Amino acid sequence: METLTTATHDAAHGEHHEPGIIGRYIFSRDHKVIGCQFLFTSIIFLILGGLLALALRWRLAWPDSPVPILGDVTGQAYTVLFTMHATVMIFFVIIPLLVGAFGNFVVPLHIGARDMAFPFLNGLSYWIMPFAGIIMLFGFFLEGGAAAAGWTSYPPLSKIAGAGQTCWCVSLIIVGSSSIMGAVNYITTIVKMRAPGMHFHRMSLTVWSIFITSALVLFGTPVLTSALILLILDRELGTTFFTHDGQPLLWQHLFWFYSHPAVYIMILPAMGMVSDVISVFARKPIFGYRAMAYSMVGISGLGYIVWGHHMFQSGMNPRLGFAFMIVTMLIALPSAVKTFNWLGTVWGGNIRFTTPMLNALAFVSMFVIGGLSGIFMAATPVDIQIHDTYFIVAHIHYVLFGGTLFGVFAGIHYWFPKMFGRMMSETWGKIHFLLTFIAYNCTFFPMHIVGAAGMPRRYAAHAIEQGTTTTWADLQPYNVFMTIAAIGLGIAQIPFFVNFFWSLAKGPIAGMNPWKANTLEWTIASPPPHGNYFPIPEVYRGPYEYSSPLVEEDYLPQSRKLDGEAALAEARLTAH
Amino acid sequence: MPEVISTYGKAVDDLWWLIVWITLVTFIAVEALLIIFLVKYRHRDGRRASYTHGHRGLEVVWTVATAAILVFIAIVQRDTWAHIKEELPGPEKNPLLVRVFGEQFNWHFVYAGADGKFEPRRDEDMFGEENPIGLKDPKLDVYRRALLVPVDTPVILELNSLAKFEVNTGKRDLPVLHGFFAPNLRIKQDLVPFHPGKIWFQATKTGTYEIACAELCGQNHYTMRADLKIMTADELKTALGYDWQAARATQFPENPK
Repeated sequence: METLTTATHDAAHGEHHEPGIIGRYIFSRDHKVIGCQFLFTSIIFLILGGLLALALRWRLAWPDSPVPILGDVTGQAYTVLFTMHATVMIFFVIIPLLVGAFGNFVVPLHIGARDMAFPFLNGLSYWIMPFAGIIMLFGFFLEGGAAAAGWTSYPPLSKIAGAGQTCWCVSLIIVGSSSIMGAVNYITTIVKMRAPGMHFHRMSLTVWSIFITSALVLFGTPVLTSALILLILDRELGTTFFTHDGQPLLWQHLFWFYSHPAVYIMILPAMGMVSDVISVFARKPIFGYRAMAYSMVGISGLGYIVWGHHMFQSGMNPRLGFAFMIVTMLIALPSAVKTFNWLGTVWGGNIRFTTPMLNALAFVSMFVIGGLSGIFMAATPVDIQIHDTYFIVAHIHYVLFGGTLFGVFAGIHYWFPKMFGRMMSETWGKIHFLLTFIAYNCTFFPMHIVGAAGMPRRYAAHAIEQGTTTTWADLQPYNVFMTIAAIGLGIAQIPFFVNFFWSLAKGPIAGMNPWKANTLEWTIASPPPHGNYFPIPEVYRGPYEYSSPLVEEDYLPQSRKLDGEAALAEARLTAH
Repeated sequence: MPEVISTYGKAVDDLWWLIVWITLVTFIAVEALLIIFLVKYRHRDGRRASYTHGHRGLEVVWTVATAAILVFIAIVQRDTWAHIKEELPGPEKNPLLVRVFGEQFNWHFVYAGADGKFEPRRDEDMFGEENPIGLKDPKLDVYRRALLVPVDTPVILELNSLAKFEVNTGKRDLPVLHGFFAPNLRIKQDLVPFHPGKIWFQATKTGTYEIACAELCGQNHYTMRADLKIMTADELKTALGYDWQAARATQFPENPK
């Protein structure tokens, strides 16, 4: 079987012709180039999404003074701001960054493949994404502005919203198609194109995470796509799937059936990358490798049956609440297991505090907060109070920024040498990390406090006086503080971008294996040539053999063949 | 957590504090271990990391323990949730019935009036200031812009979403989702268009509190607020202008689709 796989693999990629500059860098079929295209595109969207966030934070802190550049932000403009901030960040930053950029770049390298299974499909999945972005942003220029019904776009509001909402639907259908193409490609690549000796249990956790994420994408995204089509029909052709004799709650069920697994799509790859980074810099094998992999499988399985926890206060039959609460509580279990295993991995290590490691550790410590705050909203009676308040906003940002984005920073600093052949500056990397970590916590932690006080999300201003009650006016100083911290958080990204682009041109040459890591990509040139491996490497062991007693160095690459005494010793070790 | 003024509010807050303590202890333990490990096992020349792939016993213990705690947290929520959301006070408790209407971007509250019966409503009768709800005969019911309720008496709310009436065009849009949220009562539930829902509460203290909309309903979502005024039975009688205790409605009307 293995020989057969390798043979087809060689046949598919053996006869690579040398493409021209356009073929190589623009309409490339090389997974590494496509990965970098996803990376650069999502970084541009990241800047856009960040600026939208700063504009809405400005409005919250100082409702009466115009936002710099944009001018006055009305209630309508504010709803556009938060809708587009979330949409851009989720569908054009986090998912393409994790799955598109890192999935593409890392997966074939980690499993010892020359490219993805379907290189053309891979290029296509990238090239339809900018169009989706253009359609989405086009909404800004239509009457009524871009979509303004929240990133969840609950009908009937999204049915009567302006034309920007249709742009939103069409754009997400395209992005969804891009995701599905990617998912098919990853699953096929991982199942069929592993190098000889690369058993499932010798794959890195990054590969595991992309594999599981792809399964989530493949089964979840079509549901969202169907819901979007129904919404377009409702809007444009006057059907009533979600109104009148139809059911507004139907949208919520369909939407969350995709979007809850999507939350895991947005965190699992970061978990995988962080696991790899922590093991490398703790110079120690992953603690509980199988538990790490299977807990991700557990998360994805349970991820499909917890969507109702978004709807506890929606008017859904409350008797369903208990069932959804139990499974939601249980989905915290695999996450807890992973956290304990990360702790176990650093325990007894020989830890090097490089920039990727610092960001990976920040992931662990922030994800703990995001995970624990989830228990509050899983508890149905407590959720009555905090549902649709800033507590939820705090939770999602602790998972997606404190978790995913720190994971992404770890991944970028870690794989940058392999992507571009040069090192990023450690000093500036650490400055960026420290500033980001502090400003991030100052921005988002207070949201727990104001959320517990009941401060609702999606309010264009909290300190308004209506009648005699002004419950949240006293909390305005928090809003001002969070906005100032958010601006600091924005400024803290400047060192990152300077470091990134400066290192691209001027960073010191990285060499083959600057981190002394075990996985296959570090055995070839940086950046690797088109086709990666000549010949395809043979894999002898798992990816986390750090500080192995068999060798003098503290790492043992997956493709290094041991002989003599050491080989016998290894055979004895694995027999256990 | 803001001041509690409902019978079940304390139970919600107790559960909140239970979770706060459990998560706080977990948080401190995890972060402390992380910091200790990071300091103790930082890189030093000549040291080598210990070579281990895990510990089966340890992993089983922490998995089972965590699962037990999580299931425990879930189970203790059960009764409070059922009490708040699954049950409504029966007629023997003499609850006061109030119809709540959410419209972009206002709250409306309707009481049965001296005849003890709610008027059915029709969209066709809905017209601007005179009859914002569209009641068949608005004079038979009592309409208020604030929710006035008696203290120490169960109150059942019927949650309806109303289409906004555009005075300029004379047209009515679709009704949208709203969320009835009274933070001090610890109650929140969405108003689903075309599908009225019911919730209940019993206030324990007089005073004026806040009602806010918790589900995004459009550009002025943040201005959709109303006062919750809790008063004694006699005060309420004066405020409503009829003897609400004598003329008690027992059911909400059937509305034509």
